Amino acid sequence: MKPTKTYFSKTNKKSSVSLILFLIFLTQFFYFSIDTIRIRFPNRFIEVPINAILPHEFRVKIDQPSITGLKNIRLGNIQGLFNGEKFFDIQDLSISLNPSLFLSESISIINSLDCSRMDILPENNQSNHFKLQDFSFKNIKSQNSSTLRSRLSFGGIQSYLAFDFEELNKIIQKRFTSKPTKKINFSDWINQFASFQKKFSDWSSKLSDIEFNIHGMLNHEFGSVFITQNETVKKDLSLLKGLRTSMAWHTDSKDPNLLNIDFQTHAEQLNLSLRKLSLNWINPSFQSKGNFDINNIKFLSSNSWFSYKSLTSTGLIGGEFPTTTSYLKQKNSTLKADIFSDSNSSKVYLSIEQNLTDWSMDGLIHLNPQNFDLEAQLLSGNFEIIDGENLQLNFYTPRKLDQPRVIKFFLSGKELSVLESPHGDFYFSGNINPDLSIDINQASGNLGKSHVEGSYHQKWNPADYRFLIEGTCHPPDINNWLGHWWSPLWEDFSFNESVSHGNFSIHGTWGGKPGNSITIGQVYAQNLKYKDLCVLESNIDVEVNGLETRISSKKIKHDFGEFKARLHFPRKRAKDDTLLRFSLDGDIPFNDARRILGDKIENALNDLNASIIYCKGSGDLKRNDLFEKPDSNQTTYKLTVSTETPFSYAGVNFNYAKGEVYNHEGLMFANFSDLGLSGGHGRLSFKNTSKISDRINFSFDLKEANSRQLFNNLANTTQWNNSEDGERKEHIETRQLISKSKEGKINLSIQAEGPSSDPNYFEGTGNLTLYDFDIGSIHLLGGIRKKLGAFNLPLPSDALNFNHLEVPFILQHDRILFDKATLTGPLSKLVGEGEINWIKSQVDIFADLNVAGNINIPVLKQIVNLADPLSKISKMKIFGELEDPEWSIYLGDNLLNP
Amino acid sequence: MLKNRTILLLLANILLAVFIFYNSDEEYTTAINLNSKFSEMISKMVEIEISNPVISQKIIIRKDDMAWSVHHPISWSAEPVAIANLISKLSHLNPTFIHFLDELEDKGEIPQDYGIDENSSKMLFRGENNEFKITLGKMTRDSTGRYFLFSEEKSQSIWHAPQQIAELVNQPLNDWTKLTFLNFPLYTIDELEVIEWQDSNSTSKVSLSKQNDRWYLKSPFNLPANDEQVGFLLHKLISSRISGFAEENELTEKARILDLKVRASGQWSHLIISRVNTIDQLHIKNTTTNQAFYVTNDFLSNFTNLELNLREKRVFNLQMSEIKRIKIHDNNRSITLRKNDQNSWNGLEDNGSDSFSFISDLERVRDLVDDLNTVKVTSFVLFNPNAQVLREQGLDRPRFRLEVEQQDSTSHSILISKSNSDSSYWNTYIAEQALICLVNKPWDKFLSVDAIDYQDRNLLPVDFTPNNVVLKSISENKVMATFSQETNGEAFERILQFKAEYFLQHSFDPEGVWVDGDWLPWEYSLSFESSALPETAPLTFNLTERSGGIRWFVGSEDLGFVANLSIQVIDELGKYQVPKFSEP
Repeated sequence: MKPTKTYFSKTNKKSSVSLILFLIFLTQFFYFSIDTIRIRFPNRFIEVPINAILPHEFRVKIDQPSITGLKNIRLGNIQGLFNGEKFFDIQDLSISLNPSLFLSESISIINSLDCSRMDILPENNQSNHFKLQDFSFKNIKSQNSSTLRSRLSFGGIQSYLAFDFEELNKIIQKRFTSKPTKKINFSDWINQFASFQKKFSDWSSKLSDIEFNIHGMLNHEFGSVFITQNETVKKDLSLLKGLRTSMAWHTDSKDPNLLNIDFQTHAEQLNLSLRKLSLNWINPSFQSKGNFDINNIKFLSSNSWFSYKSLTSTGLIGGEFPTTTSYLKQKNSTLKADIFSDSNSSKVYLSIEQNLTDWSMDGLIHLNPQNFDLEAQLLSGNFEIIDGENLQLNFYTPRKLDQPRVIKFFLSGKELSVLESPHGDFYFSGNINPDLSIDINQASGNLGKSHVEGSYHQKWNPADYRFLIEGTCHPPDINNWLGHWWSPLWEDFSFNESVSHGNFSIHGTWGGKPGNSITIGQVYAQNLKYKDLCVLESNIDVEVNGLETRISSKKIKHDFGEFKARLHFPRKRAKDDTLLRFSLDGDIPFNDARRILGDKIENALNDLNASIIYCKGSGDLKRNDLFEKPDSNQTTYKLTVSTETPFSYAGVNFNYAKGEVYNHEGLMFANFSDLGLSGGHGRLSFKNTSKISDRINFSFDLKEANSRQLFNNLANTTQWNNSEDGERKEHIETRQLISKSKEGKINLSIQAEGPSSDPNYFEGTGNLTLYDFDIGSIHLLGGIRKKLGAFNLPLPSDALNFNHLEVPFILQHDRILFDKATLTGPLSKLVGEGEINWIKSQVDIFADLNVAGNINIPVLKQIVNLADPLSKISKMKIFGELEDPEWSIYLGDNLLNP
Repeated sequence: MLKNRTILLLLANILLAVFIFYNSDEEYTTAINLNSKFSEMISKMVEIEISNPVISQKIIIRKDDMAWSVHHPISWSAEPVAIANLISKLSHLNPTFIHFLDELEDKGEIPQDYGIDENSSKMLFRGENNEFKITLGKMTRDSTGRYFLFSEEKSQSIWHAPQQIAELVNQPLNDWTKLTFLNFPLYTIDELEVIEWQDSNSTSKVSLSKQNDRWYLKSPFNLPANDEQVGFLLHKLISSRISGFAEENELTEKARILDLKVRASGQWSHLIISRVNTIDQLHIKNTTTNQAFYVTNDFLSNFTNLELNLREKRVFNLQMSEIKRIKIHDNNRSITLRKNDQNSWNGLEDNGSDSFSFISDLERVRDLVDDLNTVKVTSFVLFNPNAQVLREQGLDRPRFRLEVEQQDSTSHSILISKSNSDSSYWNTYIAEQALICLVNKPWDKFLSVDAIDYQDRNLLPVDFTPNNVVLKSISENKVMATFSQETNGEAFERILQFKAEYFLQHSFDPEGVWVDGDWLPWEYSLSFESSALPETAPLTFNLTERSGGIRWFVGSEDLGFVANLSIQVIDELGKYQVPKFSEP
C-alpha cells in the first residue's frame, strides 16, 4: 500500500470534508485578496508596450500605474506626446476589465473606463481647449449595451454627453476595422486640429456661458443624436437660446456604405455678434436630409433649408430685415440654392446654381423701401438706410451653350433715397462674369440736383475697380454716402441752381497699396462760390494719383476777369517736401482768393489788400519751410505782377504797380519798376537778406508825390498802427503833419535795411525833397513864422517864406540824422543840422538863418542891411517835443526874447 | 467537534461567497439610480403617454419603425425636435431622491404635501419590456425645481428635478406635432395640379410639371411657366402651417373648394381643401390619411389667378445663334440688323427717304438681344383682342414695331405704344400669343433706330494691319509719341484696339467738333502706318484734347465720323498727352 493510501485510509471522511471546505475558504479568501489588493508596478512596464504599438511620433508617459485584483488597472495620469509636445493629458484613468472575456471581441473585455479629466492640446491654448471631464464608459453585459457619460467643455461652452450604444462591438467592426486606404498624416491632422481649436477659442471667447445636453443612441444600423440647450443656465443671451437639435441616420437598405441622414435644428434665438454688428434671429430653423458616403466622407446628395421668423440687427445697421427662407440642393458636385422672401417690405426669389465649371443666378429682389425700417449708424449720424417707392433687382442668366454663362442683372429704383439722400430714380444694368468679376455697363441715377451716368467694373484677385462716370453733381446731395470726410470739403462752397457737371475715371484696387487709386476728370462749374471767391464759370481738370493731386483750369472766370491756373499738391506719402507747385496766368481777384490757399498763406499776405492783380508765373512752395523752418527754406517762385487798380500794402495805398516778385532758395526778391504812390511815381525794390530772419534790404525812389497825401498815407501804415507805443500812436493819429493850406510835392529816395516786421530798426540813407509848398503847411517848420513873428521884427514880407526843403538824411533805427537840411524861400535860407527821433517824438535841430541870404541881388542886400539887427539873427535852435518844440532864437550871441 | 468545525467552515464559506458576490457586482450597487433607468428606458422606449387631467388632455406618442408619431388625440407625425428635447432633457435630468413613497407615512407626510394627487399631470414611458411613470408635483419651496413621483413596477419614490420637467409634461399638443403638411423637400416636387370646385363641380384646372429643371404649364394652356412664381408657390405650400387639427368624426358642414395634388419623389399627395361654414378656417384632408386639419383662410390666396400668375412673363427667350434678323420700326423710321453668312451682322438704317447700310457691332447686337430677353410682362391685359381694342390701346399706330426672325423661320412680332393710363408703362401686343400686356421696361431706352447706336465700333479696317502709330501735336507739328510692336509691345497692342466707345456724328469738321456746347479743336493727329502698304497713305485720325476722365474725341475726314474713344485707348494715349498750359 502506498503511504498516501495508508494515510487516507486512516483519516476520517468528515475530516476530508472539513479539509475541502477549508481549501475552498482559502481559495475564496485568496480570490478576494487578489481582487482588492493593489499592486504598483514601474511606469516602463506599461509605457514600453504601449509606445511599441503607437506610431513613432506618439509617445505616452504614465504616472503611477497599478493593478487591483486581476481586472482593475489604474493608470493615474497619462500624458500623450506628439513629436515631444503634449497632445493630451488624462487624469485618474482607470480601466476595469472582464478577464473572462479576454478571448472575445475587443471592446467587451472592458467593463468600464473612467477618468476625471482629459485635456486635448492643453499647451497650445492655456485657457480654452477641449476638455472631457467625469468621463465614464460602461459595458452592460446583461443588455449587450454600453453607456458613455461625460462633460465636454471648451471655455464657457459645456456639453453634457450621454450616449447609449447597442452592440458596440458590431459598430466598431462595421465602421472602424477596415484598414485605412492611405497612411494617415498625424502631423497634419494635429496641426489642423490645433488650428481649429485656436479659431474656435477666438470665436468662443466672446460668448457667455452656454450649456448643452447631448444624448445619443447608436447601433450598427441606425443612430440618433439629440441636443438641447440647458435652460438652467440663465445668462444674458449670448449665442443661442432654446436650441433643439435632432439628427438621425440609418444605413441605406441598398448600400451599406451609405447613411441616410435626417438633421433638424431649431432655436428660439440665435445671436451673432460681429465687430460692428449684432444679428439676432428669432426661431431660426435648419433642416437637412441627405445621403452620406461613409467611405469617402462626403454627402452624395442633400436637400436642406433654412428659415427664421425674424432677423433684427443692431450696431452699424439697426432694424428688422425681411424674413427669408433658403433651400439648398446638392447632388454630387452640383449645388442649387433658392432663396425666398415674401413680406410687405420685400419679395425675393433667387435661384443660384453652381457646378464644377459654371454658375448661374436667376430671380428677382423687389423691395418696398417705404416699409423698411433699417437705420445706419455712421460717424456723421444715424440715417435711414433706404426709403422710396421701389427697388427692383433682376438677375437673369442666358443659357449659352457655346460660351461660359454670364449673369445679367438689372437694378431700378424709383424715388429711391439711400441714407436719406434726396429721392431719385436709378437704373443699373450689368453682368456678373464666370470669374465673378462685375461689369455695370450702364448706370444712371438722379438724386436731388445730381444726375450721373456711367459704368463700374470690378475684378477680383486683386480687387481692381473702375468707375467711369459722367453727369452733374451737387456734392451735398451725397453727403451721407461718403462719410464724415466729405461734407466738410464742401462747407466753403456755395452752389446756386446751376449744378456742376463733369466726367471722371476712377480706378484702383480695393485694399491695395495706399494711394493706388487714380482719378482723372473734368468739372465744368458755373456760379459757385468757394470761400470768398465767386467763380462765374470754370473748367477744371482734376487728376489724383499716388504721387500728387493735380488741379488745373484753362479758364476760371470771375467778377474781375479770368485766369488760368495749375496746382499740384504732392501727396505726403510721396515723400516730396513740396507743399504746392503752381503756375498761374491772369487776373487774380486777390482779396477774394486769398483764403483759398489756407490760413498760413492768407496770414502771410494779410497786409496786401488788392481787388485784382494780374499775375503770371509759377512756383514751388515747400512743405513747412515757409513758416516753420525758414533756415532750410527751398521755396521757389517767380511771379510777374501788375495792377492798374489801387491797392494797399500794410495800410499804405498805392495807385498802381508793376513788377516782379520771386523767391529763390528761400530769399524773396521784389522789384517794382513802376508804382504809383500818393500821386507820385516811383520804383521799389526789396529783397530778403537772410533766410533765418525777416531782414530786408529795400530801395525806394518816389518822385512828385503829393506831400500831404504821402504823409497821410504813411500815417495809416499798419507798421505805425501796430506799434506798442500807444502814446506815440495817438500823436500820429491826431496831428496833421501837413496842413491843408497848400499841398507840396515830394521826392523821396531811401535805401535801408532792417527787419520787415519792425521799422524801428532800419538803417540807411535817403534824401527828401519837398517843394512848392507853404511853410505854414508843415507842422514843424511852420513854427519859424510863428515864433519869429512874435518878435515883431522889421522883416520884408517874404523874409520868412520858405518853399523848398531838401534833406539828405541818415536813418539809424529811431533817429533821422541830417547835417545839411536846407530850407529856402524867396529871400531866406535856413540850413539846419540835427536829428529827429521819430520814436520818441523828440526834435533837436540847430539852424542858421540867412535872411535874404538866398538872394544875390544887390538892391535887395541894401534893403536887408537896413533891417539891422536882422542881419545878426544867425542861429536858432528847435528842440523838445516834436509836437510842440521849444524855439530859441539868437541875435548874435544873445538869446532873443519876445 | 468535527461536526461544528465543518458547519463553521461551511458558514464561513457561504458568508465569504455572499460577500464576494455582492462586492463584485458593481452594476447594482446603488439602490435607485434614476439616470440609468432613464437611459435604459430611452434606448428602448416605444411609447410616451402624457396626461393632464385638469384639461382632460391625453397625448400618446408612439415610435413606429424609426419615426415618432402622435397617436392620440390625433394621428400625425411628431415633431422630431420636440422628441429630441424630451429625450435629451430626460437623459440629463439629474433628479434628487427624496423618499420612497411608502416611507412617507412614517414621516407623517402624504403625497399631497408634494403636490401629487389625481389631478397631477403624468408622463408614462413604455419600453419594450417595462414602463415607468412620472407624476408631476408642485414646485419646490425655492421655486427652482419640481417634485415628482417616480413609479415603476416595484416601487414608487419621490424626487425633485429642475423646473424643465414641468415644461415637458405640460407641453401642448401642437408643440408635439409637425405643423407642416407637405413634408417634402422643395426640389423633389415635380408636378402640381390645382382644381377649383364650385357646388361640387370642378370649374377649372391648372397643372404644371417640371422638365429639365424648368416648369411648364400643362393646363389650361401649354406654355412655359414662370419659374420664379412657381418657386414662390411651392415655397409657400411647403412652408404653410397647420393652425389646428380636426377631431375624429367631426361633423362640420364643409364646401369643397379646391383640390391640390402634389407629386414629389414620384409620390402623389392629394389634399382636399374645403371651406367650413362655422369657422373662419380652411379644412384640409389628405386622401391617404384619416387626419384632417385646418389652415388659415389666407392659404387660398396662393391660388388666386394661378394661371396668370404662373404664366411665363418673359416676353423673349432668344439665343443669339438662332436669330436671323431683327427689325425695329420707330414711327416711319426703321433699322434692320441681319446676320450674314459669316455670322457677323449688317445693318440698314432707313429714315423713310434715305437709307444707310453699315457693319454692325456684335456686342451692341448682343446687348440688344440681352435687353429683349429681360423684358417682362408687368400685367396681362387682354387675350385675343379685336381691332377695336387694339385701336383703343393705341396699337393700331404703335410707336415701335419689333420683328425678330429666327433661323427656323419662326418669328416674333411685337407692337408697342405708350400706355394711356400710366406714363411709365407701355402697351405691348405680342402677336404670337394674341396678347395685350403692360410692360414697364422703357422700350424707348433701348429700341434705337439710329445706325450710330449699332455701328461697328472698330475704327480700323479689318484687313488693315499697321506696324507703326504716330501721335503728333497739330499746332506744334511735333511728334509726341511713336508706337510699334518692337518698342512698345503691349502698349502698341492696346493702341491697335482702336475702338470707339460711342459715335457722336456721321460728319467731320476739319477744325474741330462741338460737344455739349463746347468747341473742341483738333489738337493731335494719330497716324496708323503700314509697311505692308507703303504706297498707301497712313490712316490718320484727329484728336481733341482729352476732356476729363472718359472723353477724348476722335474724328476722321476719310471715314467721316466723330466718336469718343474707348477707355482702353484713352488710358494709353493719355500717358503721352501734353497739357497746353505749362507745367508748374
